[in-house]
Amino acid sequence: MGNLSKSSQTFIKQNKAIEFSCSEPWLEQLRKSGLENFSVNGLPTPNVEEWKYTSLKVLDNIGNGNNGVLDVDQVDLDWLPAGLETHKLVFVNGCFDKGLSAIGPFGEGIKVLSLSEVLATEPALIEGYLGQIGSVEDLPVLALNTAFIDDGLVVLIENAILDKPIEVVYVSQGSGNTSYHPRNLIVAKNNSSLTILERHIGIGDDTYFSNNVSEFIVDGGSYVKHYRMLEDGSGGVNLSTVNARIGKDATYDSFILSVGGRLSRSEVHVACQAEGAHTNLNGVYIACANQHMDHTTLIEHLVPNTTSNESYKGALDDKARGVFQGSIIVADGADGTDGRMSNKTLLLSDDAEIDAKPQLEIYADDVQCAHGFTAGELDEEALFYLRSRGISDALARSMLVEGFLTDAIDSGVDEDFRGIFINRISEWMGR
Amino acid sequence: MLEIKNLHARVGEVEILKGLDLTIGSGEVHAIMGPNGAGKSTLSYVLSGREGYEVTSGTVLYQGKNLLDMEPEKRAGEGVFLAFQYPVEIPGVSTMNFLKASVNSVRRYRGQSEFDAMDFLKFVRRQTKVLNIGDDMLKRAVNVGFSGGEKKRAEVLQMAVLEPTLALLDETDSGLDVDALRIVGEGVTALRSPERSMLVITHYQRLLDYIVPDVVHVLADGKIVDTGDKELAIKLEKNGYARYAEAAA
Ligand SMILES: Nc1ncnc2c1ncn2[C@@H]1O[C@H](COP(=O)(O)OP(=O)(O)O)[C@@H](O)[C@H]1O
Ligand SMILES: [Mg+2]
Repeated sequence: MGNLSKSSQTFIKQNKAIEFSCSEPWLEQLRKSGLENFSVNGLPTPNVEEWKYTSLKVLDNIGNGNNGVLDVDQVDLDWLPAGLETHKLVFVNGCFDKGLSAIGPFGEGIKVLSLSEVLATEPALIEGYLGQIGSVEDLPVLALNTAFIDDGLVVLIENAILDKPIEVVYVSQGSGNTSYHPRNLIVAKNNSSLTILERHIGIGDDTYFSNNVSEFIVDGGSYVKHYRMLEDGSGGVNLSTVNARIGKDATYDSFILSVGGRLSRSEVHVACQAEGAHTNLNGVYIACANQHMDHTTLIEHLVPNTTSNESYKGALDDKARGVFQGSIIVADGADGTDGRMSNKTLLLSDDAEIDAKPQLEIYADDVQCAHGFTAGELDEEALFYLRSRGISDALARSMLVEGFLTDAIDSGVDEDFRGIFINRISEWMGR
Repeated sequence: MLEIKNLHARVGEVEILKGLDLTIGSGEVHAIMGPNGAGKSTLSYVLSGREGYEVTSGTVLYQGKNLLDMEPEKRAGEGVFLAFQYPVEIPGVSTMNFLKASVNSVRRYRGQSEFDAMDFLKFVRRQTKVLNIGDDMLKRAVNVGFSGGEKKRAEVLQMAVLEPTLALLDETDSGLDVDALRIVGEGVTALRSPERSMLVITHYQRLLDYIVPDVVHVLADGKIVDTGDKELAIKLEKNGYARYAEAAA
């Protein structure tokens, strides 16, 4: 433990001191495996291959304090268009806030509630699911989250279609040493369908550390669409890990818009585990000043006839730094796999930087896999075209950037929610 | 209106225009024909101010002003319009928003009032009808997924709404079937006016059936090598450019 960072040591010490309210043996065991694995190396350093481009040095002085309650102004929580009804769950520094939330009623086969509530009332409901996907041995950040499992979102849906999207808002307020580790579990079985609109926001500019993990089990013809908007405060460090397991004829689709925070890393691991499994992973990142945004994905095609389509696009200005690491693994025998991946980044300043690392590991013969990566400046020809129509150089540039991002939104977001993301992009353009 | 004298221009290290002279009077329509690679598109880019097309000597006066000094957007404001041979795709920018940004930019430049969304729609609809352009096309991203004919019709629409004084049409007729050619031909003809000069670059004289040129030039190897009337266009289409190529060589 001697060579672990100060913050890693603090996490370990404080974890041991916490008395969790739910101490079911299986859960204690799960937390313990998390803590043990985290204790081996602590937070990852750039010496670890997967973390080569993203340094967590900003967390060196973070503690595990959590002032729990804060003064949340209701206005800050409104981000959806009027008229779009949702089941809303608000988490304040990681803790479910019932007063700010409004959920239900739900029909048969649907349970949506906070993890703290499930653990207090019916922990057996999730015993067979929680911690089943993702390896705490390979993912130190997941291990850390697992050590602190206490609150988050739980959705269990079977043979049902959710009437309204589930809206999940994580509000953070730093005080220099605020950390929290929400854990979400979403299980959709037997031709179920649901949409999640997840948003991360921060109040103020202080440092905080949100280490959130979501497990998705999407099975038997079910469909899950997972939208995320990361707009953390300027001192926010957001590590998001999504682990999804897709079963027969099921689909997990995700879209992320990363715009806020000091540093964020969204890691998405999807395993296509039965025939007909499909995933679309789309993302847009827009960064300026000294923001750092990392999108790391791993798609595993484990059986024949599964498909994936992945596209991340971003624009980086000032000294912003982007990272895209996309891996596709096609297992031996997974014939009929179709996997596509692309990443395009606009560099809007000389100091902006993107590290893009594609990785295809293919062990089957009959597969279709393709990837394309580009990074660079605006298309000169398009710029001239607009200027030849009387549009000033400055306006032409901003139209091209906005167009590039709008195009990415259009291919990843359903019409119903398009405006939410388009507006956020316009806001960023006008910054 | 336009007075080009001894224009030399190069792209990279290669000289492409090699002493071109051309004068177009107000309201006149001139056609330029010539073999592939003669420098026709290069001329249109030099006149509209594309970067990388370097003028090494010669002058271009437009309405008495030095055109070569102006940024592309200023030239557009001053009334120069180029219909591109290969219109450029702009993903994520709807044709409608593009048109509005562009029309309002030149109107601002010309000291005219800008359109609001409603007035603009009315203004555009006056032109889309003639060109057989539906609202659906206006909603799509600029030139993205447009057919060859749609692209060329969209260029003519831009020309119509930007109300240029000097329109340069670079092979606006190429790649069109008979019906599309008729729409484009009639569209351009409708825009002919005593205040508007046009330079029509084309390979075929069929566009010139719609829009009868006052003067026809032959451009070969970076220079105007012959000038005549409509009859010259007909002769060129029949006999080709072989004799000019020999003369140039
Ligand atoms: N961007 C460019 N870079 C290099 N060469 C070019 C470029 N544009 C045009 N050229 C060359 O200049 C010559 C004239 O081209 P262009 O003006 O397009 O001819 P035209 O339109 O008459 O067919 C050709 O030989 C072409 O290859
Ligand atoms: Mg040409």
